[in-house]
Amino acid sequence: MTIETSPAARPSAPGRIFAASWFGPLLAAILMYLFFAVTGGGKGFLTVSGTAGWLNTAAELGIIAIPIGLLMIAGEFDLSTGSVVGAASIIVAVGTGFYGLPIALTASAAVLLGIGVGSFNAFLVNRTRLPSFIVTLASNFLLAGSALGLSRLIAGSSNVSLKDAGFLEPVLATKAYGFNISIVWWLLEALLGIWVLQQTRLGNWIFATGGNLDGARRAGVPVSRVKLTLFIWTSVSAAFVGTLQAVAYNSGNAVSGQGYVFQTAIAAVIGGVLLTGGFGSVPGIVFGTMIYGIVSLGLFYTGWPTDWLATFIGGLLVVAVLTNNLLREAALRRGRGRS
Amino acid sequence: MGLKTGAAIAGLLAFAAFGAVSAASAQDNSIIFLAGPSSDPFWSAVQQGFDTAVSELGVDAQYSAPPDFNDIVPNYTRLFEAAIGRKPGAIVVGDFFPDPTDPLIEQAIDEGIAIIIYNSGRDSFRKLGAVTFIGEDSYLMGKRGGERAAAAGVTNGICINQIAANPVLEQRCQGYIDAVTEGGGTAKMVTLPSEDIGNDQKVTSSIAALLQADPTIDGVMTLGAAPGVNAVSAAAEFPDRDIFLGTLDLSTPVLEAIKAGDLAFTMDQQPFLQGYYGVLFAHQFLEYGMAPAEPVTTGPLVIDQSNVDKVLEVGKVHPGARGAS
Repeated sequence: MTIETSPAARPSAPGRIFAASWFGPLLAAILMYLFFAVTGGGKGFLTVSGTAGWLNTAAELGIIAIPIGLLMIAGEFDLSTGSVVGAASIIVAVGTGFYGLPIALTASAAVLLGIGVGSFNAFLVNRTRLPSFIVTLASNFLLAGSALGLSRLIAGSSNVSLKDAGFLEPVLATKAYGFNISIVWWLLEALLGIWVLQQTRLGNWIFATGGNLDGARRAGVPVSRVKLTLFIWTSVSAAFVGTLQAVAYNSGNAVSGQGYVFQTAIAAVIGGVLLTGGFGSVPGIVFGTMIYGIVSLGLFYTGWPTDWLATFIGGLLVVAVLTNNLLREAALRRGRGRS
Repeated sequence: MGLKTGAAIAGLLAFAAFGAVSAASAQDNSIIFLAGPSSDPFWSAVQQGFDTAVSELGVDAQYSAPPDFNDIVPNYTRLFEAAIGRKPGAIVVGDFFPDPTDPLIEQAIDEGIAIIIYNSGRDSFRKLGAVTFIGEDSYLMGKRGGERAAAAGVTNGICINQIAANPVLEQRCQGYIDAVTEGGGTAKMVTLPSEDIGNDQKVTSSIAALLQADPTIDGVMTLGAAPGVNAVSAAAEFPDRDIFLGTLDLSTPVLEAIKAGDLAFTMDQQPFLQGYYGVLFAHQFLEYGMAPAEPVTTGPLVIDQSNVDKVLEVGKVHPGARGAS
């Protein structure tokens, strides 16, 4: 595989360029942590339950943010994850909580929904060449409305309780010292993502597809298949989070999850993923998600008015993007100088 | 890409708005019912009351609601304008946002449309010339919760507002704060980001963070079923602290938490009745010219350990009729 057009696949100093995509986010995560350790440490930010709080929040976001980041590296967006989360949670809750169907069946249905939505997105993007921004925005609305309409029609409410999730209870809802098992799933997915991106042919193809689509296509990269794989991965991970939330919080909500639409993309961008594709790393996305978790919960420990939370995140986003840009350009310049 | 995307989104919205307005058909005895977003289980219950009344009375009525809480003020106002444009016999409307809504209520009455106000607007319905009012008193709702908290000995309470800048929720929090303050304690309102409504993990962690940051907090008032359950999970992380929890609205997990003693109470404003009576009173006014002489108060009905079992039973027969099922 030689794809000269992709910066990440450039033979010159690839290690340095790879490091550039996660070193900045790591540094930022440490700085953010120190910042809240100083301002909120005295009020419990550093305690076990304080740590569990931001890690639990980051984990659910991170499970979706990893494939979103990979998809963005491949040059596409997915804004439909929010609806998939809600739809999956209501499928499991209505199926098992309302009709009493076996959890294995309803959870499989949720995963199938993820595969279906991912395939639908990929099909439209590949066939029509429309921007995935619009395609997935449309599927987000299509699915959000259908999930709400169907749940109201069937169960009379958008919010249905789910008392006993059988064997999925320990798999998705275990808690130890305040830490949710979702953190384990998040880290496992991160390992999978790192392996795919760094060790497999698919990983090279992802960089190539996002770096230069036409070049990749000419070089024989099956770009449609790459996108299909990533769209499905993204939707299935969103369905996983929806199922997890329904099981862990004993209820499904057809409209929950819309917050993820932009939060996942924000986490990926803070994590050093280039919005135009071709650049990024899984460790970077993980650090970006941690930053989001630290900031969004850290503020509660400072005692400052939480009205300013969004301002904080907006400012962080600007700083993150600027820093990542500088680091990336510096790395590429030095890489070029060597070769 | 940004500009194109923006233009495309604007196009989509314009198309949708046109569709909503152009579906006009004027009928003298028709009723349009303007409601809050169905995504909220509270409004699902209102809609069930509406559906039940429509099928029992056989009236010509249409339910009209924004899809979610995003840009709720302009969206709700546009729905109201569209409803007036269709010249129905009566409009049943919640006066959630008095500043943009009151002038439209007056305009509709000028045009000969009967107005029934429900849910919010108790203080102004007579002045505006509405037929009647059905609903709760937002401030009183919070105040009752605060009184219970104060009676249980709460000295430092927080009221969690999960919809930033919603006047109804702010009034409820104000009621809670005033009651706790009158009881000799202190209380404040904390606003969570609206985008996280429904993200149980984040709401739970946020409430736990607040409890962690201030070890003297001994009372939490939440303003919805899901946040109420989240507060129970958050308080469970501090087993050696005695935290008095109360919430508004109903769901099975809320009722079970009350039964188990984790949650002290919830307050029901009986949204089903607001939907049902809204259609009923509009119909009776259009058909017979009759209406209740006084506002009809559907809440708060306080649900605690003493009456929770009956409520749970109803939920099994009519899922969603009391809020989330």
